[in-house]
Amino acid sequence: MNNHDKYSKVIEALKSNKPVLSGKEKLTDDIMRRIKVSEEKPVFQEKLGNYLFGWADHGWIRGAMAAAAALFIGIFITQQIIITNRINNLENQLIRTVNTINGRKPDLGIMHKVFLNMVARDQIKEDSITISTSDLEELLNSYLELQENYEDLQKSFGLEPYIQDMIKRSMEDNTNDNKSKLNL
Amino acid sequence: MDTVNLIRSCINRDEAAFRTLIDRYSDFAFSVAFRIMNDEEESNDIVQESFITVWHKIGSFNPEKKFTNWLYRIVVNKCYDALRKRKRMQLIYPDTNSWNAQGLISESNPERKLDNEEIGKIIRMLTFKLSTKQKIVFILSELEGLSHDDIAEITGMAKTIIKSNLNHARRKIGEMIKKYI
Repeated sequence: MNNHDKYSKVIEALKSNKPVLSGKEKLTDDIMRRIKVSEEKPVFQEKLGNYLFGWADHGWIRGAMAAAAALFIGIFITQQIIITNRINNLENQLIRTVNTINGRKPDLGIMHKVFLNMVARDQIKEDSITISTSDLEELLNSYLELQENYEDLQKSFGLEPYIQDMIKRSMEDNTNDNKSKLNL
Repeated sequence: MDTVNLIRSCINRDEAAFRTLIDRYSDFAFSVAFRIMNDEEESNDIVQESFITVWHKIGSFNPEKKFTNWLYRIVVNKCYDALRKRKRMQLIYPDTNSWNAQGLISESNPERKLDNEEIGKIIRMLTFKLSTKQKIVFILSELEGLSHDDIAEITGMAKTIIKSNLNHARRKIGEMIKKYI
């Protein structure tokens, strides 16, 4: 027997064998009893539901509510789009402002800078500075040169004390001369 | 009393007429519910709930229309709900060892009568891999012998969807028959 024949036989067997309802009388009685109970005493929830949402049975109210809901959804979506665009614009403006401040353009007036600092206070990290590599190298060189000169000076003072005395005396003489001139 | 007059009496809240209506159609409702649910207790509950719905909504039914299609729709909807609930709670796996599928197509005893339990097991086994929609379309079309127009009216599905569901169901059931019978 091929598959198709088997399929037909199985379907035929199931079709001809209908499920049998046992206890038909009891089932009918149960249904009638439940109907009577529900007729006599409407359930509280049903009553409340009818009171609160009974208006939904009117077709025109349902239609109007659906239209209003659609309108509100439309308005909401439009609003969201507008608000998102505005937020994006403001963010872009703020980014431009912060970039301008960080760039420290020389042509900005002091009041302008103060105003921008007030607007974008949160966007700037305190105690931070931007410096180029060449500036940094120049700064380091200056520092090293200064340190070298200082050491030279210290060395010369330390090794030849008579020079120190000479300078001291000369400075004192100059001071005295100035005093006498003033007295005259 | 014919069905149209019976329904008119029910619309006028005649309880005796409704009792007659239940007597006349409860076997039919149970048969559909059982073929879908494959469980006697659940099918009984569905029949009860369905007739209570009929009593409450019969005012909106046009007596000139086919009552069985309307009853089918109510029963099928209740079955849908029950299957959804069952799906959430547990998945019943069919027991392939406990049913004698060969006997179903045996040449020696073609007139053998099946009881509810056997019918339930066979349908559960064959339709185990089907979705709810496929199962319902298969039962209404193949076992209840309804036309695609009637199934469309009962389930609210488009005819093309009914056809595709039925094809899927036939293919899967064919595979199950090949495997087990």
